[in-house]
Amino acid sequence: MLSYLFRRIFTAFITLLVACLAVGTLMHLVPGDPVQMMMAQMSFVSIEQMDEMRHRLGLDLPAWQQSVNYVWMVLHGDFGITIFGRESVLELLLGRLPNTLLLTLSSLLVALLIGLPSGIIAAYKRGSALDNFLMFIAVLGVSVPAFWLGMILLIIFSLNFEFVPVAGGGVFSVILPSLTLGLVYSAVIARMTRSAMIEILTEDFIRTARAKGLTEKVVLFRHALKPSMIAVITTIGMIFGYLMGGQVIVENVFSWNGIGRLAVYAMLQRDYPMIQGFIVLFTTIIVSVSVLLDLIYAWLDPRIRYG
Amino acid sequence: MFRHFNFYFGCGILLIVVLASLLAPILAPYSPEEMFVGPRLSPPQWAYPFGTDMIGRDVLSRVIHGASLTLYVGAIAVGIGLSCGMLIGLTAGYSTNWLQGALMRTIDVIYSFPDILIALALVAFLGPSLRNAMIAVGISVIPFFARITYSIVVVERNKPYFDSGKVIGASRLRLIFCYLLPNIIPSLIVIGSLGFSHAVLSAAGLSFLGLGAQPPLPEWGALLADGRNYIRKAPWLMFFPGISIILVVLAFNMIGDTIREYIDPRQRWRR
Repeated sequence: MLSYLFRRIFTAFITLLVACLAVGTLMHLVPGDPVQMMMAQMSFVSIEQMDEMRHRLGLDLPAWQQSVNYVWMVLHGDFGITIFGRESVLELLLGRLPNTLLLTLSSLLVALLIGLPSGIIAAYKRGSALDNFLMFIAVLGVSVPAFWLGMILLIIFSLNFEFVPVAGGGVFSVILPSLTLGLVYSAVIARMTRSAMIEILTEDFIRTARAKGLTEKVVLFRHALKPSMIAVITTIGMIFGYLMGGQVIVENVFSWNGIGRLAVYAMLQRDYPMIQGFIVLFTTIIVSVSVLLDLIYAWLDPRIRYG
Repeated sequence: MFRHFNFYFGCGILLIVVLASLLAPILAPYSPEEMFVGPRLSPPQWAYPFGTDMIGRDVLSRVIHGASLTLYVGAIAVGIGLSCGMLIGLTAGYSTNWLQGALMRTIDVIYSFPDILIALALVAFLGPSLRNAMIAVGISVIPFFARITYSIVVVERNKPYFDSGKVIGASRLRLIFCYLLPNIIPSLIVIGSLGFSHAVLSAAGLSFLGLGAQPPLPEWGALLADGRNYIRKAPWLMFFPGISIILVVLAFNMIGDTIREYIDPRQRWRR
């Protein structure tokens, strides 16, 4: 188990290193002169200033050297400074991270609380009216644009009932965005749980468990739930990644300051150090989550642990 | 029985949307861009069933004319994503270990990024327009299609018919196009239909942020962006385009789900 863990962490580290190397060449990969494009939005820029900017970004170096320099910087915890505003990229990103984590975890909680039970019930009662009803709601759920649902919730809750804040700071302002995202992703989780559960329920060991005379409750929760969670955990990991970075539009609706929104702002402004910093941070999060998931798999499935 | 209902329901909606987009000039009571056909921000009533917007345009006419844009965006995006993804997946699934490893590792890394972020990054570089949004969404779904194609190919290439092809001495290209491709196409149709719904949602999101269709194009995501500023005064501006998006996406999801169950016999007998 321990060697498995170390092997996983080692490959994760290599992946990160390769990602940083690739990110370091980003400015060379972009077609056109990045400095000229960045400066296009400013007035009165002299040739000297542009050269100084090129030097500061390391664009006067060959691509490989720039990329190695970038990895060196990142390893020392230096992500550079933003072009507009000249702030520390790392501080900006880490400043937004708590917001993103809060929204991600609360949305995931809502999604699991609704999605898991619905999926299990639908699988257990498959073919029944209840199953059909739940799965209709689920397919509806995956068809709704999250930002639209968000605005509908805004109208219903904040404009009619004044007790939920619409946007801005505070712990309570997380309620509506996490409800929005939670509802959308609960549909994904419910569909996944149902199909994984149905697959497990036809296995021989379930028939054995029933033949032993175990109660349905024990069969369902002790025997069937754990193995069927493997597929569901994969989905949860994917959703986690999406919630950490891909909720730009919902963040926009609720004026929620997450790292995703910061990244989009940087993309529109072509603030390269910021974009690079975001990619490195996001890759780190995703790679760490995937290591964590592998450990959970090993716990859920002994064949992986001892394989 | 219920599954059939889902399938027919999906096809029915799709038929209506296709008809609406083909017959838009006849069906729509007004031109989608004509201003002040009615009072500003009029609530839904007999003359304007979906209400009017802030410059007195008929929302129903705009929604009807937006149908073709939505189908167009989805088709182009899925076309780009499916063709490139299929090519990558096929190449990776049937090639040397080295190339396979390199291709799939790269795809895995890109796939771990939310596709909407990739689309946003591409639009930021290409510049906001409906055409660029379609291209961006199309590119952003390539990893999805590539991975699925790859996983299907890996299963198919271990089947006896494929070995028999090799034994006969079929060339590599013949093996890929005459043996593998016909067997993976049914699965790809399903994935394409599910990918279509995904592409429509992404493109609507981009337009909502102002990075896709530009005014006065009546794309549904852009209509939602218009309605957003009048969320309190005129909720119908948001309601009807949103429902339209949901119906189209729902239709593709239902059709995709049903065909998937039909071509995967394992799932059929489990029901």
